[in-house]
Amino acid sequence: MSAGRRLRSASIVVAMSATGCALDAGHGFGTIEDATFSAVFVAGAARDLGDSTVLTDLAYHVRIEHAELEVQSVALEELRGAGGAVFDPAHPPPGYTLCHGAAGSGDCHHEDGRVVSYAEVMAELAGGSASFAPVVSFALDARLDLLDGSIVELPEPSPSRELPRATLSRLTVRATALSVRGEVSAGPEVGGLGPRVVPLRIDLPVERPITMGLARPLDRDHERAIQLSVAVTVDGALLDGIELASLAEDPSAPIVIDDPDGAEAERIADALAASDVEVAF
Amino acid sequence: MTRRRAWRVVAIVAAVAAPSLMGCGEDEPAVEDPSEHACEHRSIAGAALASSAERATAPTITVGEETYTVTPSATERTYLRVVVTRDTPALLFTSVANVVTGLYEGDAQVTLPAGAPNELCAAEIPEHFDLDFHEAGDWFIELGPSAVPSFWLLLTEATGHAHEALVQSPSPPAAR
Repeated sequence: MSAGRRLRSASIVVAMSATGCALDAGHGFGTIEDATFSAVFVAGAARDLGDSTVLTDLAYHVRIEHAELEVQSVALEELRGAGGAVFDPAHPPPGYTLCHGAAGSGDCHHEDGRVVSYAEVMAELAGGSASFAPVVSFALDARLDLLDGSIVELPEPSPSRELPRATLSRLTVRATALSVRGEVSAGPEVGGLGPRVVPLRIDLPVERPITMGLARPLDRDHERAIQLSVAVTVDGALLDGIELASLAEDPSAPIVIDDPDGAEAERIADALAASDVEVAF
Repeated sequence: MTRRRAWRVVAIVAAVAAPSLMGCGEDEPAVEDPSEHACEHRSIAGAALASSAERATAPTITVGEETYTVTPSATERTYLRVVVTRDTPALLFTSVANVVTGLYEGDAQVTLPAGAPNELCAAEIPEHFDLDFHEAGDWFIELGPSAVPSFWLLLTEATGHAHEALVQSPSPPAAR
């Protein structure tokens, strides 16, 4: 081999090494080795009356016999098109109040009461030019028993287990339906159910996703192997703000909440979207 | 000692003394993160008080260092009073989640921000709220009916809670 050819070969090796392409052929900047998901209802100490009974903020006792969430998909997303948007958490943008948390994975409080992740704040600041796009997603399409909370294996990721270089900025869980069966009693001293015990049936479509801000780079500086674990906890505030007695005027009929456009559905959607999410990589 | 060596000694002495002369050695005391402070004080029961079903007779809690053990009601909403003398960003920490259900500025209900666990000790303080007491006057924290007989509470100023570094959206990855 001539000296010139040796030099060209060496240059090519150096260049490919610098771009991280040559040394680990066939692998991305992250590899999903395993992925699990769980969703569970936990009333919490302040709302747990025992015997599967939840205390609502209006003093109703709701005994939950069955609760099921239909989960369509789980996605890890990156923020695209934010154009290097910058904000100072010490001086939140207009509309936002306090911001706190670790760099990249904190959140800000919006004036309307929402807690918004830093990534979502940047997306909003960037306006229509920014959006979240999936880096990898799992089509779960499963009905999960919220009273059981079993951990399920997520199916094969799409488009690939091998993930490109990116920064995972958001986790999105898309559910399609919520179903609850139980019975309601008590309530406020004036206007409650009194001694009555009324069956409860909730069947609602779910249109708002459950999201969580992330700040997980996929690059050579971070662990490539990923054992993804996603755990959603729906808590005892699920039925807060609902005057259940007003839905039980017919003494012979159960309380039915199945109108997706009703105020009760809005309350439940808010509570569901605010579910706690824990993610581990 | 030669003149060159003498100047070298002066330079070394000046370099050593400069920080003291400029006061660089006297760092301002760091402000403790209130979240960390709350975790440290979680085991202190503090003053015991019972929340009131009427705002007019609600007991007063202070924005400061004092912890409280609060007795809520099992059957109805109750209230705690906060007397605010100036624009005060504050943090409310509780030992149980979903016990704080509302916020009032006088008689007007205002938006209660979403609560979140104290990241530094989530098991001990599963919920905290970033509150903005932006006007002087009587504010009321609403408690829902609760399945627990009592819970721990701390209301403190939010100084030192905000993150300091700028947050920037990630740059697009280099072309592959």
